[in-house]
Parts: sequence; C-alpha cells; structure tokens
Amino acid sequence: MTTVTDLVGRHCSWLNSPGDHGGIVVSSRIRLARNLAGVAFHRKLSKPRQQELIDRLIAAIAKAAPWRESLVAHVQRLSDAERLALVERQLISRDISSGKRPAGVCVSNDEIYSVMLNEEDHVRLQVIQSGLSLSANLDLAIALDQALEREVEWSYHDVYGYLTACHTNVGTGMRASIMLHLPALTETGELKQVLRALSKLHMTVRGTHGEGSEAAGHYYQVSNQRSLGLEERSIVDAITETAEKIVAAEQMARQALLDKGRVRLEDKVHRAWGVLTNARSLNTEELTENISWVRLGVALRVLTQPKWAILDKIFLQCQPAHLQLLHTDAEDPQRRDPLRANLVREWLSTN
Amino acid sequence: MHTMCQICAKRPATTHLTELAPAGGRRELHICGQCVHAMGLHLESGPPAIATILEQQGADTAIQIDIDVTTAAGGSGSAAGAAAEEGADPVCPACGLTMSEYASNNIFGCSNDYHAFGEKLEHLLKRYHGATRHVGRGPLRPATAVTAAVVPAKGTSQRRKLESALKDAVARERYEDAAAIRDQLRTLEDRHRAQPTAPTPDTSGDKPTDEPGGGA
Repeated sequence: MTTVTDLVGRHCSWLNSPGDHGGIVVSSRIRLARNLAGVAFHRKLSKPRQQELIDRLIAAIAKAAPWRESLVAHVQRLSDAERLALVERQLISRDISSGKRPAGVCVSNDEIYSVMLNEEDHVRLQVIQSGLSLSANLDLAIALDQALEREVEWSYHDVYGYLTACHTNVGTGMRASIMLHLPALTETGELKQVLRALSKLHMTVRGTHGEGSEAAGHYYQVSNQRSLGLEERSIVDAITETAEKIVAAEQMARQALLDKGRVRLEDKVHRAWGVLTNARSLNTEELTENISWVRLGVALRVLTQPKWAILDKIFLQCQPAHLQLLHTDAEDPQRRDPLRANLVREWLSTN
Repeated sequence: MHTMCQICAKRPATTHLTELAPAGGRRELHICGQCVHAMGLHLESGPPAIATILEQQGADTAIQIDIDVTTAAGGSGSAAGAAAEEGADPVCPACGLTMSEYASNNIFGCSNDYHAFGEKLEHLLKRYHGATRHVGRGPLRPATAVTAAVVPAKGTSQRRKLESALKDAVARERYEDAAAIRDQLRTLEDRHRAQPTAPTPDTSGDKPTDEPGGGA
C-alpha cells in the first residue's frame, strides 16, 4: 500500500511542463460528484454512519478500480502534514483536510485518479492529467463511474440527474477545469476583460495555488459553473474551446510584452532568476511569484535554463507540507524558508 | 441584521455576493447600493464576479467562484433568495431539513429534499443553471424501487419503461397505444402520491439502516 510519504517524493503526472502551448496549459481535470441512493448527505448522517459509508465505498472502489496500486487512507488518521501534502498535490480538498468529519481518499499510484469519500458529496472522483486532456479524462472518469456503478447504486433522478448535496452540482455532477498559467495577461491587465467575458459564458475562473493565495504564481483554473441542462461532452468542448481562446490571448500578450516591453520583461525574468539562485530564505509566496517569471522566461527563451522538469520539481516539492514530509526539521516555517532557498539554489545549479 | 458594506465600511450592504468553490468553501462580498452605483456594476445583466470587483478596487485578485447573487431587490440564483420568497418554508418529511436551513449553507440533508422543496428548488435550479432538466448521461442500470422511494415522483423502473414506451408510441404515431400508456402512467402517479416517503436519513445517530444497492 502506498503512503502519503511515498507520493510526495515523486514526480506528479499532472504536472509535466511545458504541458501544452508552451507552458500555458498546465493540466486538465474532470470531477464527478456522486452519492449513494438511500443514504443521507453528511449533514443528516451521524459520524458512525459516515464512517461506515467510507468503509463501504473503499471496498467498492477496491473492486472497481482500474489501477493496481494505490493510496487508500482515512483522512482523520493522517498527520496534519500528510493531509496538507495531499491538498498541495490537488488530491483532496481543504474541506476534508480539516479533519472535522470522517473522510476517505483513494489515489491511484500515478495520481491520475483520485476519489474523495464523504467530502460534500459521498463520492467525488477526479481524473487529472497534464496539458489539454479534458476529453480523455472524461472517458476515464465515465469508465470509473460505470465500474463503481456495478458495486453501488447512485442517487439518480430522471429529471434532475445525479443528485448532489448542493444544487450547484446537480445534473451531470461534473466540473471540468483547465489550469492555465497566465503571467502575460496578468501583467498587461487584459485578464480582467477575459474574466468578465467568462462570467457571461457561465464559466468561472479562480486562482489555484491554495485558498488565500489567490492567483498566486499567475495560475488560474477555468471551469464550468453550470452542471444541469448540458451534456457532459458539450461542457468539456466549451471549456476546452474557451481555454484555447484564453491561450491565444495569452500568446498575444506574451508577444506584446516581447515587442513593446522587452527590456522590462527581461528585467523581471532575470530578477526572478537572481532571487531564486541567490536567496538564503524563501517563503512560499516569493517562490511562487519568482518561479512564475522564470517559467515565462523559459517559455519565451529569455532564459536558456533551467529545464522544465526542474521547475516542476521546485513547484511541487518546495510546498510547505512537502518540505515537512521530505526533510527533517522542517516543521517550523522559520526553518523551512532557509531550507527552501537552499534546495532551490541546489536544484537550479544542477540543471 | 445588517452586514456592513465591505467596500466603504460605512453603509449597510444591500447586495450580497456568494461564490462557492467547486471543492467546497465559500467567498462572500457584501456591498451597499452607493458602492454598487459608484463601481458601475450592472446587476441586471447577471452576477458580477467577486474577483472582478476586487480587482477593480485594487484589492486582491481572489477568485473562488460559482456565482450566487442575492440583491436587495429580489435575488437571482441563491438558495437564500429562493427561501426568502413568499410562501411557507418547505420541509423534507424524510430528513426534516427546511428550505431555509438549506439556504444557510447550501447542503441538502438527503436526496429527497429535491422532491420536498418542489417549486422553490426548481426556481433555484432555473436561476443557477438556466435549466431544470438533466440532459447528460445516466446510470447504465435503471433506478431501483429504493431510489424511487427516496425520490418518489420520477424514479421507478416501471415508470421509466412506460415513459419510454409512450415516447416510442408517439414517435410511431400509434396514438391509441400512447393514450393507453398515458393512463397507466397516471395510475402509477396516483399510487405514488398515496405512498408515504421512506425516511432514510439517519437522524437518531446509531439506528442501523439497510442501505440498498450495495454489493460490497
């Protein structure tokens, strides 16, 4: 059985930069919300019954799963750092990481599949891969959904579709999202217009790097707002098309930065490189901000190094809980920041 | 209860924006009428994204969405808005949750709430999704009678079969058959109405309930 510590030491398959379109499209994710027929939502289900539900679902997943090896965990039994590390790898939500109620998680060893149990809904299954891969992910998610359906009965209504714990997810129970890296649109200020246009299309955008950090590192997630009254495929197509349009806008904004403000751009990128290769203490925010500019620099060939894989490694393994689990003495942020700076310098120099 | 405007912090807020993150969590922004006017927000053309407003205000660019908007004028798309409308507060006979309790945190008690909250829920769905009917995929096997007990109106396999036969008959222009099937459907509906709803949610704490459909 895989442990959280096993996972954190590894490369993460949804983070395989440059992904698509020169590092702009990072990853694509399909999430399906499902609930068991005849079982109340957690709000009206006692803790012991929630625990039973989780056990029953873990057994069902073990039978249905297309993967061989996986992490299977009761979230409440994990340490704080282990829970947070799963959040950092986008495998569980902050909601269940708080440990306020029983919750479970199953993650395939390649991390393409993950299933949260007793989150807002009984089951939240996720398929995530790098690049523009929504359509392929939908196929995988449907296959897993159908395999699970042989083990359990989903709460399904002829008119409303899959019934969910919140009216915002009912119908398909699906959220399709694409993670984009948009430093140029952010820098030129054009992102505001893009956001406005998206809300009219009933799509939503939010920052990705954890709650509170907002659009840190210029990462954004585009996803569907509506889950009812649309077919899964049309949602996937619409989100993909929209992402491609945003990619085109980002490419134009990047070109504009090169054409009209080359020195300014080069200055930003090289300053970021300077910080990362020289700092003796780096907090998460500084790292995220600077790594974003270096990423842009590599994409635009303003920088000839580092390799994308090094950027991914820094992005993933310098997050607080990853540091805590991979290194001794990293529980205290004051010790973590120097450690982070040392690792970044080391990895960038061995490029 | 007056929430103060988060932009000017001087006047009571009259526009309340709530955005839900897909993975859970919520973000709220409360604004007064004057600030709405000053910022040139056009509420009639749909809820503005909190992020857009914050960005406009030079505040953080936080964006955590799925937009729900309630305005003082009436509301458009939030459970709070739907619950505040006139009429009694519907209560689910299966789990005991009321529509206004639902509105407090947007978590249903059980799937029967979809049935129990009736038209209010339909309004909510219409406003949020712009639709009230699922058109995507469904389970491979038809819902069993147990699902039907939780959601009595639409779930039985018998009803499904009849509905599908009805569609088929209409498509083939066999109208006499169609009429006969329609009568059968009506009888079935009447029978459902006479049946009490199965109370499946566990409110007592440790009462064992036989959960259906599981082959674990």
